[in-house]
Amino acid sequence: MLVSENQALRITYEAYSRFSNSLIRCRTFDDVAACFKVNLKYLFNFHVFRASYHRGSYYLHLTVTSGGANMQVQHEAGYLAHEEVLLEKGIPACWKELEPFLLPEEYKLPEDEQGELWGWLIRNDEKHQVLVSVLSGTSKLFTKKDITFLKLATENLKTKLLEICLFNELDEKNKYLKDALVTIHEKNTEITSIIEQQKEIIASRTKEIADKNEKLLQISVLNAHDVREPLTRIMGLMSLMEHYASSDDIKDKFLPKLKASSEDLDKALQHVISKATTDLLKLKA
Amino acid sequence: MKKIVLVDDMEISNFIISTMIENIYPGYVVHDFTNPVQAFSSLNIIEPDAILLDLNMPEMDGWAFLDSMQSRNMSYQVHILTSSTSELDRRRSLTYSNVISYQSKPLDEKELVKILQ
Repeated sequence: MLVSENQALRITYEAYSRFSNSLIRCRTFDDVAACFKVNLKYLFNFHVFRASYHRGSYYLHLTVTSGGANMQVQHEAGYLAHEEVLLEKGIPACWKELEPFLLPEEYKLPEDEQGELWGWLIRNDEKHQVLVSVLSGTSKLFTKKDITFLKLATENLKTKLLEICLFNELDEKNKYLKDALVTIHEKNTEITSIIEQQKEIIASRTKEIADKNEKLLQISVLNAHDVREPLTRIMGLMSLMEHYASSDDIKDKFLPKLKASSEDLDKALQHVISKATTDLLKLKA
Repeated sequence: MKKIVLVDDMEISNFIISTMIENIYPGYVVHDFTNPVQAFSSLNIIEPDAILLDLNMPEMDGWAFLDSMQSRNMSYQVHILTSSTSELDRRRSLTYSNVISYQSKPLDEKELVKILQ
């Protein structure tokens, strides 16, 4: 008996080793389901094996039957009634009364199978836990001896699901980053073109201002000469009066000329003022 | 006794200079013109010893006057007498071989003596 038990154990270990090797290579949830479909039946007997894992906004439900294996990935919790009980109580259970759970179609067994539902909540912490349950019957008998391999398989599953979830999250973040990078590049191009445009505008404005300044300078020089001309007349007349003129001369000859020259000076100044004002208004426009 | 030609579109300017000359050199003959074209066409009749020429004039400015003289090979001595104090004008005027001096208005009596002696 002991010999055959050891033999059975050795065979199971071999099966477990194949299962582990196969699971390590899985990259997607579908890969995991396929691995369980092929390998799980060599570790222990079951009618239905179900494992539920939760991370972030994702709820994963792996269901394995003799007909196949299926991984549901969804945003709603979608726990079965017995899983709710396991979650709440947190202790392993083995139910023989299955009616109250209103289990789905694949859990239906013939009367004489005497179905048993085993369940565990395997958790490291709040965020990292797996609900696992096994439906067995007389033709697919599950015993306490099988719990070791079930827990080993479940631990492996939990690690693998976490790994795939992290990969997926990384992919999503990478995609987000790539999008961000594209946006940054687009904005950079836009900014560069805006800067180029600004440079052109600044260059043309600077030239415009330099031109205007030069023009104003020329005008101011011209204006200064126009103003100076009647002024030199006044100065000339004054010095003539000092040296040579009699009071009769001053009254008859010089005063009218001084008056005319003063008026010319006034005109020239008014012209300068109105010209400068116009130029200033043009500059502001 | 010298013959002097004054060319300035402002009559008062000519009055000032001619009065000054009259006082310093009563024997000098002064011909004053407010119209540069007339002045130019009278040059060969008068044959002046000196011309006092304004730069900024309508119709024919001082530069055109100098250019016309150059093109007719007239070598009458010219003194520029202008209200402009521009260094550019001064340099330009001295490129004409018959321009003797460049004077800014108002003209000082000493300067006038110097250029008409």
